[in-house]
Amino acid sequence: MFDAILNGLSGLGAGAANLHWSNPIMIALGCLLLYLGIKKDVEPLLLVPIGFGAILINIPLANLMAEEGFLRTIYDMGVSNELFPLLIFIGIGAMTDFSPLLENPKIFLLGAAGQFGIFLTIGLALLFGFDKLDAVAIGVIGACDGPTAIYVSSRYAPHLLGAISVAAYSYMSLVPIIQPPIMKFLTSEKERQINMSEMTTTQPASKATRIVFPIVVTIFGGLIAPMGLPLLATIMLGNLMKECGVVSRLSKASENEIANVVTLFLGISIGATMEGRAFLNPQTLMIMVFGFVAICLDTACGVLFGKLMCVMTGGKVNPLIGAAGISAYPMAARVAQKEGLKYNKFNFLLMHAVGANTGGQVGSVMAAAIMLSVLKGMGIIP
Amino acid sequence: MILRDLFITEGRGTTADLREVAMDNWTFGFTLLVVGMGGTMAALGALAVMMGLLKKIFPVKEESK
Repeated sequence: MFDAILNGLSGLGAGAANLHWSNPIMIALGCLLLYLGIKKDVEPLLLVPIGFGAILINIPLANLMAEEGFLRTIYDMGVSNELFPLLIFIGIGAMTDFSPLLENPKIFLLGAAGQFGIFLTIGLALLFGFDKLDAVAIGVIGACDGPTAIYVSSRYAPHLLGAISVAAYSYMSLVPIIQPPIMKFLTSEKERQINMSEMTTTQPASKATRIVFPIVVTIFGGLIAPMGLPLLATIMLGNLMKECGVVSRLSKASENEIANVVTLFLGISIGATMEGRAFLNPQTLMIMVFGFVAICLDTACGVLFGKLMCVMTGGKVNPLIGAAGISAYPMAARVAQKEGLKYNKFNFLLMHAVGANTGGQVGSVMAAAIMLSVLKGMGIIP
Repeated sequence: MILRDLFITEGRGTTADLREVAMDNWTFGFTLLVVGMGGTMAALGALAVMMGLLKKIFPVKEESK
């Protein structure tokens, strides 16, 4: 009987007895993500479930990612088949107002320049010896777009999904810290003071234009980059539902209930990929570094392109709005507005920056779509 | 006949054939850099032009009438 009691007690301590050295570190990292989400308000909708998932998966013998574990079920339900990021895109489309972009379509080009960091980072990752598809997945952190990064990495580099997701969302939330020094370094004080309120914009977009816009983007984007059509189509479907005004129930469900449920499932299953033995390696550290580099390069390319537009328009464009040509919405637009105000207290760049920012949202999806289609054209992916 | 046939003449490889070609990292990275960056810029530039046209086709004035 004494033996039976001892065996029973040993069963109670089995979890602790099977701890790998990496598990406590990852549990601490999970707690840090929870702290950042709860206390510091850093992307809490994602970091709270990711942090909790990271804690769960590092508790030994629970088998949550085993074949019938509940985290595995959620993962297989929507991450391994890329469904969750696409559902989130419908919600993002339903939340996004493209009017400032449609008022001044030239700003679309800033949304393209803000994606150059993706391709430059892919080159860097290749130089550092990463496999081609791993490099592509790492470069997409530069899209500053969580769902796009998750979509690409879950499809082509699932072993890097945890690190890439954490890097993407962490750096997105750090945009207000990362961007200002680069903006300041690359622009002169005179350029930062350019007042855009006098810039002649074309007429505001009519409702018909706003309705046709997502349809045109989907058809055009799908024809030139069919591999990325799921990304483009879902964000544009969400936007079409918002703009057409006749399916407000669907639009509201997409931006609220569906987006909320999917964010929870997506977050916890990303956390579930952060098992210590797989996560704690030099590769993860390098991914974090490359993610940082990608966002710096995006910002630099956006600002430099803004300078080019400034020259071409005879000094009417403030290059600071170039930094908003990334997908981190609306943080990047707010940063441009705040930086502009620092140097000219009568300068309101917000609407122009929001235009560039929404251009960045379309740009990031388009860049990923084009990249996937180029990869297919080169025979790298099936 | 699909549109692609206009661009692919006899004897030229299709993308399926390209899969057999081994590609070094330099070629891969450079191709992505040029085609990816150029393609993104061209695509968004074309969209900007289309949006300008759409605004002319569906002006705000007509709506208010």
